[in-house]
Amino acid sequence: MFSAENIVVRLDRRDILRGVDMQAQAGHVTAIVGHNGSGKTTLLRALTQDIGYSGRVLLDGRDVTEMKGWELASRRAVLPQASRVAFPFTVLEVVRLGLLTGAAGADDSLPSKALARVGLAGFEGRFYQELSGGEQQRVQLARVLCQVWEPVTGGAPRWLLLDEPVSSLDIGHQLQVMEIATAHARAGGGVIAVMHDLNLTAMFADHVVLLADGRCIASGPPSLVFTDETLSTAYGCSLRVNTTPGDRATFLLPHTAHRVA
Amino acid sequence: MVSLSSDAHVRLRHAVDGDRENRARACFAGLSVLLGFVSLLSLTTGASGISLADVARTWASGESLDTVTRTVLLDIRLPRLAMGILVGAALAVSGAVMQGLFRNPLADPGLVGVSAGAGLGATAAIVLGGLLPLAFRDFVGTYMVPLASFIGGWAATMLLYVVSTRGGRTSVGVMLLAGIALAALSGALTGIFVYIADDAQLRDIQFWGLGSLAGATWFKLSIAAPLILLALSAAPFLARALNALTLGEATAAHLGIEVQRMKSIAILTVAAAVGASVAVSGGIGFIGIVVPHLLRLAVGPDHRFLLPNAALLGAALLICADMIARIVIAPAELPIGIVTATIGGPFFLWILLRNRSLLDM
Repeated sequence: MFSAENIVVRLDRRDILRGVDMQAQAGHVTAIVGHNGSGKTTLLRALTQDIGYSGRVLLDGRDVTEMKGWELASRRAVLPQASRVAFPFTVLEVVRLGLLTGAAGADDSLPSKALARVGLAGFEGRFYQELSGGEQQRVQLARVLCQVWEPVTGGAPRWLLLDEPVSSLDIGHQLQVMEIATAHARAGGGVIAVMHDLNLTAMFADHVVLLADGRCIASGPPSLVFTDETLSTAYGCSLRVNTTPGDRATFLLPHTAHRVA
Repeated sequence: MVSLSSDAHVRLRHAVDGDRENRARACFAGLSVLLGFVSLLSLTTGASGISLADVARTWASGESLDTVTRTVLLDIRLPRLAMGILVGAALAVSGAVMQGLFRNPLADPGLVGVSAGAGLGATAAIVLGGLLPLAFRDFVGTYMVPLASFIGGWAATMLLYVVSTRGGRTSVGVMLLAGIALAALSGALTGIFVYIADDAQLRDIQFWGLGSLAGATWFKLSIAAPLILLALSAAPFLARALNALTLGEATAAHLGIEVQRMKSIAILTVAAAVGASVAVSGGIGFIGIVVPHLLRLAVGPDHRFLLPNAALLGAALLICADMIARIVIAPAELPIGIVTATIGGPFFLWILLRNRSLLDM
């Protein structure tokens, strides 16, 4: 279990997070959602030790600040929102960096498997800089997958922490990436993703953490969190949630929204 | 929908596209041969007209070399060659490490003020050294100038990093401008020391500006070599961390790299290599920027291969430059800094123009 207790983050004398608690279970896809500037990415960056915070972040009951860098690297991989690579690396060389410290260090075939997994088979020899933004995003996902390829090692789940993993992707690749995340969770691993798209979140997340103004205002399965009232409060506009006739899947059309003056 | 291509394994049996490791190894072998070749050439090039064939013939026939030949070879050309190899390797490797650290191909110790800082340290040591208490001077002894040069280089690198990095992101613009400011400041302070220096000290100081291997002796070598060798042997341990760092500091940390510690080691490495080089050979530019850049184009930016290849190519290039410096206006000599800048400058511009798309600044 990945959990955060009473996380407070202040940047430039402004409260970004004001005491957030969250829990993510292995085997589940946990989504962090909220309006722009609600603190989604900041919460993820606290979970990944990128920024200073007060409160505690625990991985299977252990405070992550007490774990070594290599130990954390073998337990969780992090996909940033956008990645610039400083030098002209080939795609293969970028993906291979995922093997730097992971437990699977020896398996040479992993980078190509991971590339095939994200739909980029045959891209090994291309230069990273020459790819489109969406392709770069998926190369980075392949690198992250390499780092925690086996969802469970030694009985312990391994985690994917994804910051807006589908933000620059077309709809086909959005589905593909969400399916990869779901498969990782179903195989026993853990997934925490910062999400922008509420429909994809409703489709794929098992657990949602809804942030507004640096506080967690609701958490639970999407069907419970995504209500007209909660979402309207969280996003500051009047929203109407719908369900499909057959399997009662939650969806949300912007057409039904009214701006609150 | 998630497609797992089944032929992925099959393809991997063969050399994979995008894998430049074999090319990098071949390059290493080629450069080793090249370095050996130019080293021999360098030993047999010079004003006194001794050729290696003569020496080999003398040795083969069992006679001993005459004193002049012996002196020229063992006490003039050999230490000069060794110095050229060490300094060339040090400059190229520290260029590559610094570019990796700043994640920018323009970060060169010569361009961003590290060499100027080292020069300031050396000048200060020459001029102020005489003012130190005698006991301390005896204690630090001949290591004082290289040590001061090292401290100057280290301080400049640290300052540069602190100024140009905020929140784990290094701003290229700030780095280059700060480097220019640092170099100017170091130059001004060096000027003050030049102003108050006496004649003997002036002759010592003048040497830094020009850059030359001419003063190489076994004694100087014994002072610079430990620092340079220490720095060069630390570099391979930085390679994996520098690779991770190309994705940014946060991602490097996520990959398990102890980023802060690694950065300190990298800065110390650069300072030691540049400081020691500047102390014995003055400011030699362009090796640190041209060599890593060329190699990145040839074998890719993977630092595990870039660093050792840079050491070899840097050494070979500097020896070639030194030979040119010795031949062009023989029996006089050009300062080697002029040679590296005259060849390196236009060459570097040419590389830039050809590869603008890949630079992605």
